[in-house]
Amino acid sequence: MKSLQYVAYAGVLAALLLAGWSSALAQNVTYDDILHSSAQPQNWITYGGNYSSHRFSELKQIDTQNAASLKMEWVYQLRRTGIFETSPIVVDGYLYMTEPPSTVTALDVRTGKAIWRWTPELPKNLLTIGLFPTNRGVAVLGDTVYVTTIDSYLVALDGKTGAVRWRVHVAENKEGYAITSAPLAINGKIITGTGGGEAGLRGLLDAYDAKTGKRLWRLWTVPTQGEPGVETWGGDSWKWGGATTWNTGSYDPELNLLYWGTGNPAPDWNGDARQGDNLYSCSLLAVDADTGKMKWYFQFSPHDTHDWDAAEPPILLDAAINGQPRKLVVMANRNGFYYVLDRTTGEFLSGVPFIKQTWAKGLDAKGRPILMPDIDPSPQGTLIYPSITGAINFSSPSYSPLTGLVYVTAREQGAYYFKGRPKMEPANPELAGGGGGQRVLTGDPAYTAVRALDATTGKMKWQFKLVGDSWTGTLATAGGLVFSADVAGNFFALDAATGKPLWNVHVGAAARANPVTFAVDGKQYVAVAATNSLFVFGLP
Amino acid sequence: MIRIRSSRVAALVFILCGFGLCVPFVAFAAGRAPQATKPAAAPPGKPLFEGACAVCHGMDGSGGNGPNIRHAAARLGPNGIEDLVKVGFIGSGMPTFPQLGDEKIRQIVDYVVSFDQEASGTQPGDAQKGKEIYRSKNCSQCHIVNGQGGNLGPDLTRVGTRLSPGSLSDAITSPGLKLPLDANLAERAAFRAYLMQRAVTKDGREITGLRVNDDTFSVQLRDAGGQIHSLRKLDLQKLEDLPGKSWMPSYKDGLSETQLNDLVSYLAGLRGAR
Ligand code: HEC
Ligand code: HEC
Repeated sequence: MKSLQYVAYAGVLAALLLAGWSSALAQNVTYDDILHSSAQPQNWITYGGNYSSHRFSELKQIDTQNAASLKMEWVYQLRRTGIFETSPIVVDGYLYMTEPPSTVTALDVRTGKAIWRWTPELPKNLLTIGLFPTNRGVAVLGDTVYVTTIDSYLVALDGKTGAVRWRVHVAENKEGYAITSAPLAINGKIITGTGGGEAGLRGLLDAYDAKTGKRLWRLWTVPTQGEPGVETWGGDSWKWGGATTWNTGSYDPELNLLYWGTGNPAPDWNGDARQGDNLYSCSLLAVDADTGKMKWYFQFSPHDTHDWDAAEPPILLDAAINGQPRKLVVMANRNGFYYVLDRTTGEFLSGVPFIKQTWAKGLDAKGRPILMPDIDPSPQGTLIYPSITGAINFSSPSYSPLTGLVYVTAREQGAYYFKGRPKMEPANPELAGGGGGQRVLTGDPAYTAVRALDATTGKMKWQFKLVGDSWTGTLATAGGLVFSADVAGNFFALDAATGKPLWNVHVGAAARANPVTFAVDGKQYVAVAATNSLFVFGLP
Repeated sequence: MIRIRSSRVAALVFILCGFGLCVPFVAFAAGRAPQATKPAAAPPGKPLFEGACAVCHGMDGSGGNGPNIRHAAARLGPNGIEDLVKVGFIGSGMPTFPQLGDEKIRQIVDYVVSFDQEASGTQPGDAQKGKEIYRSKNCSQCHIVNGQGGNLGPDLTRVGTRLSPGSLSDAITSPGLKLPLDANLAERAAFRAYLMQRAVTKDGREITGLRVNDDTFSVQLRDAGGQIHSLRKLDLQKLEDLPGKSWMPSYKDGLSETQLNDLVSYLAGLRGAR
C-alpha cells in the first residue's frame, strides 16, 4: 500500500519535473517551426498566427459544443496602466507579451505568473505624434525575443532571462519616428517598420540580422529626388510624405516576398501641397526579403485625404479565381473596400465595399477608386463614410481554411472631415497630421459588426452586430469558432459557420487587442487583452 | 470653478428655440466687459487645438479616438487641463506636450475652456424664481440635484455645464427629443442613454422602459416605477426603440415663457459644487 503510494508520488514528481524540464529546454523556435506553425498549434508562434496572417488555430478542444462552458483561468494585471494592445506570443508554456509603452513580460501560461520583465529607459521628451504610446507584441526566433520600442529601437532579449543581447537604433524619435508594432522574424532576419505618419517624416521598412542586429537593408516608402514615383508628390512634399509601416506584415516563403501595408500621406487632411498620387502611401508593398527591393505595389487610396492607412495585416491564401488556382493576398481595407490581388504580380482581381462608403462610385478595372465629387475635407466639415478610424483599423482579421471565410470587425460610421494645413512641419507636436481631423457621428446608427466575408469575393455570408465600437481583431479556430470582443468589454465566441453567439463574458472594460489561442499540458486556452489586464479562459 | 481669462471674453449668441418660436439670447462669458461691437477674432488656441488635439478629440472637442472634452473644463478647471497637457495622464493614451511651451499651452487651454462657455453665462430669466418653479413642479421626483431627489432622469447637479440654454429649454418642452450620450463609455460605446425601448421576451413578457445600459449581449431598462429590468438579448424576441417618448412629461403647456426662462436660468446655473 505504502509503496504503491510512493510509486504514484514518484510518477507525479517525474511528470512535473519533465514538464518543467521540457519547457525550460524548449523555447527554441526555428525558422522551420514558424514555417510549419500549424504543426504545433499549442504555440502561437508569430504575430499573425502564421506567415500568412491567418490568425487561425488548428486547436479544437474548445468547439461549438462546449464553448458555452468557458471559464476564466487567470488574469494578468498591468503594472502600469496604458493603452494595452498586445497580441501575445506563446512558446512551450511561456507567454511573451508587451505592456505599454514598451515593456516585455514573460509569463508562465499555467498560472499567469511573471517569470521576467524588461523595461527600457525612455527619453523624457518622447515624441508620440498622432499615435498612442503602446505596443502590439514581440517576435521570437531561436531563444531570442525581439521587441521594438516607442522611441524607435529594436531590441533582442534572451528568452529565458530578459537580458539584452543587442539593441539597435531604427530611427530618430526626435524626428517623430515611434514604433508600436510587433516585429516579424523570418529566416535569420527581423523585419520592422515604424509609425509617425502624422509627424512629417518618410516611412521605412528595415531588415536586421537576427544574430547581430546589423541592418541588412532599408526600403523607404516615399521616393526621394531622382527616384521613380517622386513626381507623384507636388513640390518637395515627399520630404514629409509619411506612408509609415506601423503594423506587422505577412510573408510568403516560396516567393520570398514580404507584404507590408503603408499609412497615410502627410499632412493627412489637406492634399493641396502634395498634388499627385503620393506613392507609396495607403498601399500594399511586396518586398524581396533578401534585398529589400520592392517587387510590386498596389495603392488602395491614391492621394488620400481621409487617413485611410492600409495598416491591417494582409492575408495570404491560395484559391481558385474563375477556375484558375491563384496565389492571393486579400485585404479588408480601412477605406471600406475588400480587395483580392494576385500576390505574385500585384494584379488587381476584385474589390467590393464591405461597409457603407460614400467616397467612391466603385473601382475601375485596375482597382483604382472612381471618386465621388466633393469628398475632400473642408473648413466647414465634409460628411464621408467611413470615419477617420476607418472601416477597420489596426485590428487583424482572420481566415479559416475550413470555411473559406475572412472574419473582420467592420465599423459602420461616418464623420465630418475638417481640412488642416497644406504644409507639414516635421516633428511639430502642434500639428499632428497637419491639423484638421474629424467629428464622428455617434449614437446608435454608428456600430460595428463581426462580418464573415467570402475570402475570394468579399461577399458577406453573415454578420454579428455589436453595440458601439470595436478595436479587436478576430481569431478563428478548427473548433469551428470565431472569437472577438467589443469596447463595452464583451469577449465572445461565435459559430464560424453561422455567426451565432455561443459564449460571452463581460470583462468590464474595452478590449483593444487581437485574441490568441494556445495550449499547454493538453489544455487549450484563449486570451485577450482588455484595458489593463490580460484575460485567459479555458474549459473547466 | 471656471477661471476666466480676459483674453477669452467673447459674446456668444444663442437662439433659444421653444414653443416653436426662437428667442435670441446674448450671453456673455462672465469676466471683463466685452468689447461690444468688434467681431471676435479666431482665438489663438483654435489652430493650435486643431493641430495638436483634434486628431484624437475631434475638431470641436466632441471626441473621436479620444474622449469628448467639451465639458472637461467644468470638472478639471483650466489648471487641471493645463497640467494634463504638460504632464499627460500617466499611462493613458493622452500624450504630453512639453515641447509646446507655456504660452501656447495656455492658449489651447483657453480654447478648451471656451467649449464649456457656451453652456454658461447670464440668462435673462430669474434663477431664484426658477428654483421655486423647479420645486413646485416637483422635478426632483425624477432628478437629483446636489444629492437630493429621484433618479428616473439624469442627475442635474452639473446640467449647466452639459447643456446650452437652448437645449435645456428643449429638454423641458420636448422630452425624449435629444438624449444624452451614455456617460460611462462616452463616444466609444456611444449609445443614447434614456432612450425609451419596448422589449418582448421569448415567453411573452413585455417591458417598456428607459435604456440604462446597452451592449452586444444585454440591455437594462428602467420602468416607470424606477425598477430596473436586466435582460439578455438572447432571451428577447423583440426589442424596439420608441424615439421621442420619455417618462418625463412635457411642460410645453404648463409653463409661461417667463417661467420657462426662469427655470432655464436656474438649470444653467447648476454647475456642480464649487
Ligand atoms: C493621441 C491621442 C490624443 C491627443 C493627440 C490628445 N489627447 Fe487628450 N486624451 C486622449 C485620451 C485617450 C484621453 C483619455 C485618458 C484617460 O481617461 O485615460 C484624453 C484625455 C484628455 C482630457 C481629459 C478628459 C476628461 O474628461 O477627463 C483632456 C482635457 C484632454 N485630453 C485634452 C487634450 C488637449 C488639450 C490636447 C492637445 C494639446 C490633447 N488632449 C491631445 C487622447 C489624446
Ligand atoms: C417623471 C419623471 C420626470 C419628471 C417629473 C421630470 N423629468 Fe426631466 N427627465 C426625465 C427623464 C427620464 C429624462 C431623460 C430623457 C429625456 O430627456 O426625456 C429627463 C431629462 C431632463 C433634462 C435633460 C437632462 C440631460 O442631461 O440631457 C432636463 C434638463 C430635465 N429633464 C429637466 C426637468 C425639469 C426642469 C423638470 C420639472 C419641470 C423635470 N425634468 C421633470 C424624467 C423626469
